Amino acid sequence: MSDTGPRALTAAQAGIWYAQQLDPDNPIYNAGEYLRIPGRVDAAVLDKAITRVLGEAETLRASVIEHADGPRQVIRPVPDTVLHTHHTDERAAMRAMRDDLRTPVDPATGPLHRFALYRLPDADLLYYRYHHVVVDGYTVALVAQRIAEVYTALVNGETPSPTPFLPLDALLELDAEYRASERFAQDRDYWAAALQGAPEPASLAARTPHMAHGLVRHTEYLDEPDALKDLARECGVTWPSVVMAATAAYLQRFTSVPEVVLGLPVTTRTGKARSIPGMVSNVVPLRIAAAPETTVGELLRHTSARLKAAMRHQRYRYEDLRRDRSRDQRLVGPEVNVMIFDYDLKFGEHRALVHNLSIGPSDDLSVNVYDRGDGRGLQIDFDANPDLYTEREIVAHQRRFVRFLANLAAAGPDVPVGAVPALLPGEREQVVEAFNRTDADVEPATLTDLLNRHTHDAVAVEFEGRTLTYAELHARADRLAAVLAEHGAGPERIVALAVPRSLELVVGLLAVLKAGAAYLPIDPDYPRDRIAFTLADARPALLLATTATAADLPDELPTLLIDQDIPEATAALTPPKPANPAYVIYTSGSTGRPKGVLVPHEGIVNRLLWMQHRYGLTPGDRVLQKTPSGFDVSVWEFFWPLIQGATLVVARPEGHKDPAYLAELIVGSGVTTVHFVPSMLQAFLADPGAAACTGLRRVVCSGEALPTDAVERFHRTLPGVELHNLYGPTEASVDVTAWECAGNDVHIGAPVWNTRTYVLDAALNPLPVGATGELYLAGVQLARGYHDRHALTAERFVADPFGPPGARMYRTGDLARWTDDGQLDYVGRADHQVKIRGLRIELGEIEAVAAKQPGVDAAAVLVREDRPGDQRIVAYLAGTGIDPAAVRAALAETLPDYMVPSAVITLPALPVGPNGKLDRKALPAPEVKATAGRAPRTPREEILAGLFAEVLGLPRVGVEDNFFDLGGHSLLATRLIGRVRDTFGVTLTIRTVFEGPTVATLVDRLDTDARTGDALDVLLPLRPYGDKPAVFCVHPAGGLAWCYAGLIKHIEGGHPVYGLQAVGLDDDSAPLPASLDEAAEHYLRVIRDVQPHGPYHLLGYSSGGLLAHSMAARLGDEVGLLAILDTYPGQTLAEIGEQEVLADLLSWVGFDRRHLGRKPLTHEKVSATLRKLGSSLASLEQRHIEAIGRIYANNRDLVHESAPPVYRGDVTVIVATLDKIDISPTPETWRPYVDGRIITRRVDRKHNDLMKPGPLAEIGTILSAELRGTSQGEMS
Amino acid sequence: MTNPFDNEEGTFLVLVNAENQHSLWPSFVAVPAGWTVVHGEADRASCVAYIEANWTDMRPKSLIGS
Repeated sequence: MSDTGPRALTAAQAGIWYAQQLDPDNPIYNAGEYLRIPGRVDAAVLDKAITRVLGEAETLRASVIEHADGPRQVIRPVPDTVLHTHHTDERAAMRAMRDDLRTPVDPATGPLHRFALYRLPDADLLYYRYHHVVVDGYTVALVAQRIAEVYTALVNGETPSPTPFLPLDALLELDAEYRASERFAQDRDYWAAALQGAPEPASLAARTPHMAHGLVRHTEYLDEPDALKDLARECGVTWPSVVMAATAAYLQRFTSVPEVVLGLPVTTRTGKARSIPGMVSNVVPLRIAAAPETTVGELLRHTSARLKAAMRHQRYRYEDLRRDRSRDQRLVGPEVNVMIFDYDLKFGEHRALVHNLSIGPSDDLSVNVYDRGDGRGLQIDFDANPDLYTEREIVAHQRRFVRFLANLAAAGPDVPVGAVPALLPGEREQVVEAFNRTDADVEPATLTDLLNRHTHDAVAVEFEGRTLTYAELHARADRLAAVLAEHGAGPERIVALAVPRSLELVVGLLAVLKAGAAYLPIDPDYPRDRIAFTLADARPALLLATTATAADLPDELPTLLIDQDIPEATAALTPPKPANPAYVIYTSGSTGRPKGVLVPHEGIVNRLLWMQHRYGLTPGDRVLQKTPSGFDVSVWEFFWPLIQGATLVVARPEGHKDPAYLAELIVGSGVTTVHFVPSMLQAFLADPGAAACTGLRRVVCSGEALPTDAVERFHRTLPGVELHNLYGPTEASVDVTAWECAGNDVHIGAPVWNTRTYVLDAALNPLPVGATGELYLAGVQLARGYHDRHALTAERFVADPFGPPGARMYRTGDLARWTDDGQLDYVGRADHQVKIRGLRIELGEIEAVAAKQPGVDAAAVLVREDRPGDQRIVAYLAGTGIDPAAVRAALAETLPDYMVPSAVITLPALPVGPNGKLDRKALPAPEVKATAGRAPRTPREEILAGLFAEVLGLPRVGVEDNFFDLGGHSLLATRLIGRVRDTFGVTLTIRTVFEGPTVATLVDRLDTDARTGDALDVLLPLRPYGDKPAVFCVHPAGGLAWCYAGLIKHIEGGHPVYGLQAVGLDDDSAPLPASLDEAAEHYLRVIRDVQPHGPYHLLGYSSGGLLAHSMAARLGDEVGLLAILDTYPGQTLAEIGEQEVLADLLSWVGFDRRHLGRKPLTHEKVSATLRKLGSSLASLEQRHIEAIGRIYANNRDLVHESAPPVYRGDVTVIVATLDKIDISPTPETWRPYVDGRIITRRVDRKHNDLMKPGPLAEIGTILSAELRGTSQGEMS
Repeated sequence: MTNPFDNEEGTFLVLVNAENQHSLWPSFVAVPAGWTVVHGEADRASCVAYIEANWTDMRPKSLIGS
């Protein structure tokens, strides 16, 4: 026996040990099996045999301790006896074994083995369990064989053969030798080359794999392995290569990646290492290209070659491979373990069968294949991480895999691997047929036919107080249609409309349809170039415009002004056929050219009649039309009500972006049905007006993924209103699936009438329930194709293998999966098309335009979400002499607003990965600019700048910074409007923000009624808006009331807030008051000017508390709330100089003067600091500081001389508790001067900190509560 | 995620149905019923060029005839 002192670990042991240290309670490193011995063994002899083998195999006696130099293993002595014997039944034995395996073992304490003999009525079970830190799979088998051998010798009365094992130290030497060898370096180089450009590990699970805590195992058998072995022979490979190739192909099938990296467990043993028990096993990457077009034979030969190469370099450790890669990440997906050590275990007479229970951790999935040679075929175990897979999922995958393996063997070498079926019986029928049973009888009508059925006198359309009855609408449309026909409009022709939302737009659309033509909506706000492109591409027969929009439109086309008198015409109308296009809508195109989708009448008629069947619109319903006509959601908004005799309520132009307006319109016009893109739904629900929209019957969402929290909020805000989530591309007549969000579950739902939806893999095979694949659509709603883009049409609208002969299907580029009950889940995009706020964008289109700009060699455009929920388009440009601002301006001239990148970043070159492709992950996030713009001049600018920063997620924003340049977009603008409304009580419109997108310009918009003055006047209008009684905040001793600015965010909207400031801040010559009473009298005159009658709410800090009290005593019962901030009669004020004034200014913005060092503060220094912090106090000049010092000194005298009057009313005293001691004044100090209740409120702050942002927020909350409590909430 | 129709290195067919609608088609996938091969197997660019040259009227054949 060799030395028993501590010794090093093998690299493999170290890996396991560290993993166990990270997760000490994890039992996953218990490796266990049992041997079924069909008869009786001699337990005493067996115990002897095992102890003997424990003596031979040092590793089994090792435990691993922490040592100063890292972990070390110590070999413990051989025990006298080890075998536990139990008489029991099978079930109890199994339970005992599993319980043992689930018990974590500490590698330091040991023993790291356990042996038990379960004596069943008909068999003996020998159970053994080791910690993986001391054994690998090879060792487990080696030891089992040796135990059987020794037992057999002993039971036959023979002397066992000498030990075949070498000492553990030999294994450690081999391990150390390898790591220092040339071979090690060669292996490292081999793997570096082999993994160049390797894909990220693929998984069958939807979640990211991580360390497992347990195992879900399922076992299946491949009954007839002969076919598989025949195929292997035919292709000249070993049969394990077939299993590995099949695993790769199966994984490919479910992930659609062309190449997969499997994990290949290896023994790493050659030569004498084969005779040493220990832990040296490894996992190496097995990279297999399993593209579906590869033939089975090619795949097998490729896999076999990769397998052989991996085996040659198997000693290079996985941990080292991970370290070698720059990003420390998983390198391999599922592991495939083919066990062919086919050992013969005989215990005396009895041949034992091995049953493995646990083979170590599987962080995702391990496929373990055993060839037992026991007549049951190949045993295939799936060991999965239970955090990633349910039992059901794993069973389904495994059954499919076994079937796939059999199908692969049967297919033969020449079949493309993508053509080998992988589904279980019934699965294909379920997803292709059962989930797509949508046949419905729809009459062969056109949209024009359906519209023409309603010509009665009910109101058809309402817009901004104007209405048209059905009769009027049709009369006008008929007249216009005749004119259009005279200009050549008819079936298969296009008429463009550049008309903002209005009654005329509805008349125009109807007229085009009556003329038999297809309408083409043109957004007049789009850049000229884009409009010109669209018109040139579509070649409309004529253009309908308004006087206003026509001015900016190309004049080559015959143009008819729809807001002018329509001439008389008598041309006959040609009714369209169901297969003629009803409209053409342009969508973003990946090559830089938008493409026109031609949608026939029969498609949209099916869609509208399905909608009517499903949601049952009645003539009493009122449908809001707010989606711009260039987006196809508008199609049902326009025509669903008009084919049902209901009323169409048309929102004003731009109104669709303004939640407050929409809420008003919905309530005011009695709208029952409205559509929202989910991000707009969230903005709408955040508006206080949303909850009042109780007249709504249904809300329809589509355009982007609907977040669960939006659904929850919807149900809370509008209980009882239906919420429907619809999905579909323009290419399939608006929507093809629908789901009602009755609870909080969100799906995109099941296909609509006469529509089939397929989830397909990369070889166009249907995928089963739960598997993610690309979504294809088929049925009557498919568009004809892309106008004049034949090749593009033939690429996207392709032959449908599952529908009637000759049918087409449209590939959406969306990823989806089926649920068990035939609903679809939206998973994401397969390509680079993105949606921002429901608008479809091909990044390639932006890239194409950007690449054309001067100096740009290459362009990449991404959508980044560096802040959750805030998606921004960012353009990355490589080249020389690029001016980002000029590029952005150029893009804004060509692309619609929503496609213009919010940031343009120039780089010397675009980063590429090893495979030469753009490395998107290496593109930097746009810098958050600490802006250089000037600091705010007034408290209100400062508050507004704070709101900008809050909404944009920036630390601060300069007064002249452009909201949109800083990443603002229309949805964020909506949020800004909400915050401005909450804070200032003023409702801006989206257009105002677009027109004046800086703090400086928006402050002027707040000030349109000129209720502002100089920020140093006695009256400081902090928030001069609201219909409730105002709150007046009286200055502290220094005279300035700007410190209250931080309060208004926290005081309920509706109450105007004013500061009252001392006389003389901006005028050295002004006489200062001679008493507090004189000052109070002055302030009363000022507040009566603003608000002639009570109730007046008064608030004061420091000497402002005394002043507020004095004012209250004079106002008597006109006082609403009197709140005194930690001020008490009879106090004295400290004498202060300029230093203290300056320190106070810093303190108000929460800045600790000690950050500026011990030197005296200077005005310059303090101003510079305040400017950096974005505080308006920075604008105070030296003379103002001096004035504050003078005013303070005067107030100090007045306070000391004052004798407070008696106020007959209640007072609220807010106490700063942190610096109060036993002898501090209490609110009761006010008792002699208050004839009413003294209400005490506490904040856990210090007196001098009360004007800092945090304490002001608490004070604001208290004041809001008190204001709600005052009985006179409204002014008379 | 790769799509068989976007594989620039793949080989393709051009299929046509009774309505004279054209479809690009990956050659390793079985041709669906009701469609006839009119071009290929060939590289993608060749198939795209064939479609551009030969599919000139996107209207379904039954609509043109009626």
